[in-house]
Amino acid sequence: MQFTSFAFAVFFPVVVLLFYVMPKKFRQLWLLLASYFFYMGWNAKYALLILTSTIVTYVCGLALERIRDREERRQRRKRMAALIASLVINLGILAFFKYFYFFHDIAAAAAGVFGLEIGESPLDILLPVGISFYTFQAVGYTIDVYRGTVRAEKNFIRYALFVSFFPQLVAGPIERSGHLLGQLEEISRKRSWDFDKVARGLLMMLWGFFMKLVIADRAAIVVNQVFPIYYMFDGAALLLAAFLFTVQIYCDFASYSMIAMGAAGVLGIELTANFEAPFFSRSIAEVWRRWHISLSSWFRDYVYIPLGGNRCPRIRKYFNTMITFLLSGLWHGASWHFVFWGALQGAFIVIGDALRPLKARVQERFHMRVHTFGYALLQGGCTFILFMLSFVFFRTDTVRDGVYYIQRLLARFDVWSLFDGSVYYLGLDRKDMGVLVLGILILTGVDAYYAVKRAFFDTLVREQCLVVQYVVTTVLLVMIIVFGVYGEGYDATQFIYFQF
Amino acid sequence: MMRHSSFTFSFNTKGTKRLAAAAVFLVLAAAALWLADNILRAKFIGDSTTIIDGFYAEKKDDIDLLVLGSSNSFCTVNPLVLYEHYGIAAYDFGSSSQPMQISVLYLKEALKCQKPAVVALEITMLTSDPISSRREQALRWGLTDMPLSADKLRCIYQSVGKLDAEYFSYVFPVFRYHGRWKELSKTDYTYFLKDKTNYTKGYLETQAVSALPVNLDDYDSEGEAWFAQENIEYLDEMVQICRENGIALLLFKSPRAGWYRYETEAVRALASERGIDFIDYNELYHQELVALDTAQDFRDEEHLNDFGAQKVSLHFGNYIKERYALADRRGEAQANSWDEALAYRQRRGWQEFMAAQSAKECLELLQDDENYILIVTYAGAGKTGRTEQWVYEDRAVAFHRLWQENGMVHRRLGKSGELVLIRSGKVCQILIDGVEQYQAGSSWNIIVYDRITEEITANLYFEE
Repeated sequence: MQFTSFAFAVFFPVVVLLFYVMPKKFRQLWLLLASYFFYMGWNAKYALLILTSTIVTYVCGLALERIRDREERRQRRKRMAALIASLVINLGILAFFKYFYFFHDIAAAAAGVFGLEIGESPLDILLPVGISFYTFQAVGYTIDVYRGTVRAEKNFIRYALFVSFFPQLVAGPIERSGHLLGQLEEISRKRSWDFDKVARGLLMMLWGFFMKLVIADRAAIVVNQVFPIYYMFDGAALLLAAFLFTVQIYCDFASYSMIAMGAAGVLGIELTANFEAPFFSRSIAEVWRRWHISLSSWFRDYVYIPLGGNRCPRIRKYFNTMITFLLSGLWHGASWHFVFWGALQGAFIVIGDALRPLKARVQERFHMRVHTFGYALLQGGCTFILFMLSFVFFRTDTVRDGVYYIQRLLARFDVWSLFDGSVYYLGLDRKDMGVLVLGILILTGVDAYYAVKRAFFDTLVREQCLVVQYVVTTVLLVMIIVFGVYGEGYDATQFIYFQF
Repeated sequence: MMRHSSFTFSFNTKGTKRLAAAAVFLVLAAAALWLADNILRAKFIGDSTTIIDGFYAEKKDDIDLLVLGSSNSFCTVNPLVLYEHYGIAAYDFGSSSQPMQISVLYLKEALKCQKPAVVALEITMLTSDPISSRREQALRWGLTDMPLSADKLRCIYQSVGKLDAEYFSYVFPVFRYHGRWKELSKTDYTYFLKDKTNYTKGYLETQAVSALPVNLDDYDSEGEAWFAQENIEYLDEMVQICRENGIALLLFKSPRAGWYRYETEAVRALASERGIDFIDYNELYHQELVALDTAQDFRDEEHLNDFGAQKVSLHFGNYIKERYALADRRGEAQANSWDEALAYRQRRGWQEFMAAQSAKECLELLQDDENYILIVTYAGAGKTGRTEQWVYEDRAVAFHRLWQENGMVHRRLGKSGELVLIRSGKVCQILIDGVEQYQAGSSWNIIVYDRITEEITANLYFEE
């Protein structure tokens, strides 16, 4: 079920209420049952895939632990075999369900070169919701046990809950076993009602719903209007759509993470922060330290560092960066335009790093004041523009479309059309556009607060006096209900990241 | 030994304070949502919104005849005609396209505050199919303004068939109407603060006439009547409720095109099986017992206008008076709400002062009515002519100004109206609720504002 569904509005209070009134020893089992029920709201059959992943990684984890206790050369080979078995099975399932058509198309194209023909696939595969997220979480666990950074979990229910914990099951944050398993163990021992945590959790959920329903789904109206027929619009409309898509995807994904953090917080569990005001970054490298942090750090720890990370010659480092971002692109979608989008991110970082000495020389030569607000603003603006343009390739169907979109954006730019009222014919009228602008301004304020204080919306509200807390919360609640894009006449957009 | 539950909340001082704080927040949030709901929900003025609100504004146990059903009920039976001619205290408690399950709900809700002797059900929707009975528009008309109760929740379930987001949106209409924020009008902000008295007793006034004469000549066409089983069950539920409460249930059918004799006979059979009365105005029309003019008496093919409703109501009142022992409520010691409604109707119609030939004559005719507020303007001839204004309220001069320089006066008008008098460069302006009312040219202008109807009754100009 989706967070914005009626079912979740009933499901969540019931889960929380029973969680707190039932004896502690049943809580893990209760959350496990709730998590499977939550997931089966999409497709009951695919719960078997989670169960398979869970069993495979659980058994491999135990095997790795047992073999580790008898440290010999022969045993090391066995441990490697157990790790590879886990990776092959889990990534194999992911590859089959997510990348089958992608590989099929590549094979067909390759065969075409040799004059062979591969027909349409007889299979009809539906992508299981959230498979990329829970697979990475389970695989990460196996690697951690292999490396010995965490002990294998012996309690199957707890482990199954770790893989399927409903707040972050379908769209992250991708949790590390070391962070989450211990907390899940505590809920059956000592975690109990904590008013402050519950209040903070609810505030985070509220802010998440605001980002999703008021901003992301409203921005989506323009995006969905312009992108499919982008060749009919001029540069100003394309710029606006590209900007709003960046806003949409950020709000969509960050809202899911925020609601997940809030929902887990209500249950007394702290999840990893996934977005830390990424648009206040001053370089693409910094964006990726603040955007989808749980995925970036996963790739850093399990791909980039094993490849050699930074501690190798510069060329090798750039190669590692590119490989990591190409894989990240592929993770986001089984299509070349996602791979290209990933490559762009890698290229931005590599070029940024390669030009750093030159940039330092220019700054020195022209005595540029780099520790000023203006310079920071310039860097932030450039970073945002690059990031925004790269997301054009994320949204268009092909790389070629993305290239033409940007060409058209630059070549047919008519500044006047931003001011002559034509933007109100892109799906949002003047009033709706006003609400969207207001929402983005509020979002900017909340993110600016994070950039300064390193604290989220819940802290921003909780540190105010009680009257202000109540007023802010009530106003936000009413804004979500009134200005939220939901209900009949409009299908609430699915959380974009579910398909990844 | 049994282990304690892990729910460790304790009522220490901190806990109590937090509980109190949470309660305060919940009250605040609920109030904000209540306000948002009241502003945003669609207002079916002249239909269910004003009918339901007016019903609950009635005195307890004051209604003798309750009329239920779809728009055919409140476009056919005019309670003021019934009262004026037969002394019957009736109220049209219907909603457009009201499905049978909602008619049952209306009956149940009505009996919580009224004890009618007779309930009359207009049976158009008895013959509707289950799909029509679940048409969203009909459900919204019928359910949106009905107060929340266990019966309403049950009725929503009967109408929607499942406990989902749609069900929830009938319980809390704001979730259906939140998108109206872009189209709100002044009525949306002020309606819930206004007096809810329904001076037509639920009846929908209209003098619109159908563009083409309505065809009632196909009445004898052949066919077979069909009733959905669920509609029969809802009818039986109404029969049961009425029996338990000692109420006489009467079925009636308004005249309309597309209604046939075989349907009349089928409904009559249903009614007689249950020992209840049925009167069909299509049949009576063809028996020439009701002289309807098909060119003048219909608003459209399915609804009567005021002229047709007057004729049918006269017959209907007589029928009820003869058949049921209803008290004649006219001439009670204290004026009841039907007397007030008649007076209200009178005030909105033509009145003697409107034919006055001079300002003096007009003022003389109006001066004894304390419910009129008069805004009188005298503008002397020529550019140098003086401008003088008076406001009469409670039979006395409440304001007088001989304008000698530019200025503005702001006054409250009646309960919630706003009057602004402006003099700017020898030009006079009178704004009532923001709308310009004065046109220069005549010596005297008298604007008559009625406190009861909260409307401008007349805007008259005289030369002397």
